[in-house]
Amino acid sequence: MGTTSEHCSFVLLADFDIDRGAQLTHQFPQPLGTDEGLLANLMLPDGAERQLEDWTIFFLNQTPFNTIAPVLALETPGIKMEDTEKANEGELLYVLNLVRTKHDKTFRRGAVVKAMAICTRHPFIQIFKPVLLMALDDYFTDPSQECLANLFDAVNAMDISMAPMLSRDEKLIMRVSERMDVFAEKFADLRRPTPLPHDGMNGARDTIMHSRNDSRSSFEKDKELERTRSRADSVKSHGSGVGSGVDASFALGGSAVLIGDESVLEAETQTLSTRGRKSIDANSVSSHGTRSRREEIMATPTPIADLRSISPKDTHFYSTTIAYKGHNIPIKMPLSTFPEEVGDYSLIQLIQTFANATISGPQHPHLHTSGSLTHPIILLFNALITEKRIIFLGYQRPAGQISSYVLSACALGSGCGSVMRGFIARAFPYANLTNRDEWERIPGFIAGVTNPIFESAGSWDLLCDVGTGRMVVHKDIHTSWPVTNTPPPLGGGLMRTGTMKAEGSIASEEDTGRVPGQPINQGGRNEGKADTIDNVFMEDIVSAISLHFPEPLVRARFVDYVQRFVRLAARYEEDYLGKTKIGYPSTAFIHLGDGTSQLGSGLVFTDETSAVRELAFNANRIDGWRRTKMYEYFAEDFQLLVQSKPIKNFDVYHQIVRMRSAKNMSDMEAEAITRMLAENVQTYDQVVEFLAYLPPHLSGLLPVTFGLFHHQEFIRDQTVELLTVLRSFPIGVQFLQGLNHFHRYSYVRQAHARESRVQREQQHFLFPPGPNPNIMSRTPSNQSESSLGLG
Amino acid sequence: MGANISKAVAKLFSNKEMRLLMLGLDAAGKTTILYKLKLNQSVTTIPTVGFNVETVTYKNVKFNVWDVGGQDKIRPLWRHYYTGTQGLVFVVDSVDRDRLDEARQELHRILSDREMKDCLLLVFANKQDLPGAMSPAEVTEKLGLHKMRDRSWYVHPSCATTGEGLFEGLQWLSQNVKKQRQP
Repeated sequence: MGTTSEHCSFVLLADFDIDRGAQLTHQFPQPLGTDEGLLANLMLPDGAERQLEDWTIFFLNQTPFNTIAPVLALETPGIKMEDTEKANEGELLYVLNLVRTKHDKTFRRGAVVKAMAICTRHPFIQIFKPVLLMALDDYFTDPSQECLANLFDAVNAMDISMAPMLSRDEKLIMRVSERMDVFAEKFADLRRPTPLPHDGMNGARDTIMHSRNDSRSSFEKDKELERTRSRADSVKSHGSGVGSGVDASFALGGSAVLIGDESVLEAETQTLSTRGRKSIDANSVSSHGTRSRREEIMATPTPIADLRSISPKDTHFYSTTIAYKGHNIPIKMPLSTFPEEVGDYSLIQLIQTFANATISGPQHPHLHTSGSLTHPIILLFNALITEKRIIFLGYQRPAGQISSYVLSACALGSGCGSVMRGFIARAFPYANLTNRDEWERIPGFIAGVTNPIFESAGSWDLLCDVGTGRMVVHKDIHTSWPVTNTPPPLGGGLMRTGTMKAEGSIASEEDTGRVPGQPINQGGRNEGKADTIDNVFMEDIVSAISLHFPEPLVRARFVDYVQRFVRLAARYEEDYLGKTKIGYPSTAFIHLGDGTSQLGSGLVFTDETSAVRELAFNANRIDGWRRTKMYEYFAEDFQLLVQSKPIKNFDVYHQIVRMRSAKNMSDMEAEAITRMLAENVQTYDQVVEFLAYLPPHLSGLLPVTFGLFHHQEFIRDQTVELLTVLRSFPIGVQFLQGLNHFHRYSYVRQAHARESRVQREQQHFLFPPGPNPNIMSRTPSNQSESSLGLG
Repeated sequence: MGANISKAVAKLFSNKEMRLLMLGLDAAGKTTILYKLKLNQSVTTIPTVGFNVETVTYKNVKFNVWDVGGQDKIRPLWRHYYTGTQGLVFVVDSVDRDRLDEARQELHRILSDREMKDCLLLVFANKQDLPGAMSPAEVTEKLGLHKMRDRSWYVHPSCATTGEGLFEGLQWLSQNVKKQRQP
């Protein structure tokens, strides 16, 4: 077999033999070397005969029992043979399985049940659904191993080599961006050198798109081209005195920032009458350096057209095809998902099903963080992060639906995979009796079952019944999870004083605040409060869903929620242990006497009282979380992140939250923050990291652009400089476009003013007296050709 | 608390609940029996991949009946249903003489499980409407029930499609569950 198994490691086929039962009929290209009965039973879920069609999802290589041992090592791209074995170990294989029941009177006992499955290393298994549907159909008409081989080859022939690879920060930005062209330049970068395979088709489709957002894209693509050429240069020059001003000037048309709104453009030309449209023209000149200016204005710039014709409809996905038996099945591969996000899960569905769930069973401090008024979704979240054993039960529901709840729960707990990990490894999206002894032994399993036998005879801690929308905490929860008396008594007097000098005076208030914060040991009889942060948050989410806010927004809100949780945990560690490995230390901004200062870091609270209240509220579940594997992973990941993140040495998040929410920020702090940002946000990676902290649903760049209105000129200047760096990258342009007109204007106006000031100074220096024809030139200093042309 | 009260009330009015497990070789007629009891209709069934569970109320007794697929490869799953079972309903295809010995072995294997040591045994000698069906006595004999001590057992002829004999079986179960352990 010449093909690799890059996308599809195995194809399986199981039959429900009417005389013998579930059996694995084919394994292609080779036997998996694991229990065939187990595979067959997972492929033929309980109640399969009641659904005409059903999907199940399960994983391999999770437990010793479902670890595969193929005779021939799997091919792992980029890994040599001797490493292959290691790579196979522990590497999760995701199995997407389709089972179908065909009623046919001509068969003995009236029906045939068959299932076909794809085992893949890609977490986005949903992309294989269409091809699996077709392949199983073919198998029904002609049951032979040939069908499996066809599917295997077709899937492995899928080409995703041109799919852009996004960094973590880029993914974070893409996930929350509603723009269909976010990171379009990534596609361009990759595709430009090679001729396109399906140019014709795309061309036709994209002309439509072109005409739709005509006014914006040309400028944008302009910027893209410009960026690819000038990225390095503009980066270098920033922050280096005069040069920076000149360089910045070349990007300062205002056009890209203000595009998409012709009237604004008009207005701009009028207001800034000294510049006028010329500025835009000049801008295009600089972007296509070698061409003459006239030509540039007149001609439809061909490179732009090229780019447009190949940029995809929605850059959140990479479009490719699977050629299966003469059909080209379109595939949309998601680009911004994390490994903990498997399949096409839906937080909205999960929330809608359980938002009004009745919760029964005893209360447990890890779970009932708001006592009897704990929101069901929060209860589930608490159970997930404290590694409770969770079962989703859906009697007479399709197994595929139950699987989806399990996958959604994993996303809920992990912050959609962007905060924590360690959920998928203990998830059994479809589980049944066959190997229950195995998976029930996994600490904190998250299992989806359709068999109600598990309710009475299962070893779970939390049961979520999908059918009736109820949640049950196991009556033995206190035996399985004895309530310990940690966390230590709050406010032990040791830590806070040193770190939070500014708030030291509230110490006494803290102590009083901490007394109600002891539901910790009260276990069963917590009255519950309706107005806890969590309940307010959930109310907000539920109303957002009822107002039809889309899934990505709901996900984003939960990412923020989980982010805040881990930051709280860091603060908690600091308070009780004196130090933390999972976050920045909590300090406020300190102004040192000698004119230097130190930026704050850590989580930001509106005031220390609320900090105490929130910490007390979270103490129990933080304590529960700290005993889990996920905590260890997170600590590792955090250290790695601190080492590898592009913006070094300070907590960007803290600064942004300060800008977003601080009341009465001192000028000194504002100055220090803006200076730090302007100095440290220079390269593409830094820009991306910075923007990842500024998602559109938290009003994007707005907290930063308020700096444009600061009464101190230095802060305004630094803000302009920072925004100008952002503007030199397409993604930065998109963020600037997300600003309201007032802020955009302000930026453009100040940028122009600054630029002309710099130019004046420069010209003064170069040609002291007299007017100069070059005064309008916005040519970058590094493009000598055009400057010559103009001169 | 509320739940406890209602349970107490239920006990008072002797609304008994009984958990039954219905097993047997494949194609013995388990699912047909279940849905005949539940719906009083003869439904055409297809092989059960996993299980079916239905609640059937008969003479104030709520029977929780679990019907589990019987093909040999899925018989190892039966054991998962044993816990809490008060009555085993073992269904035999009275026409299938060839496999009666297989049925006997399976039956004894089930009953030898510790979890099943206290449960009642009801055998339906099913498919009595078909020609050549074995009599209940013959089924009793061939299943080796006479040798069985320490267990209440009862063999009843039945025809799942018409429903004949089914409720008599339940009747026996409900009468005998009383005599058995009342914790």
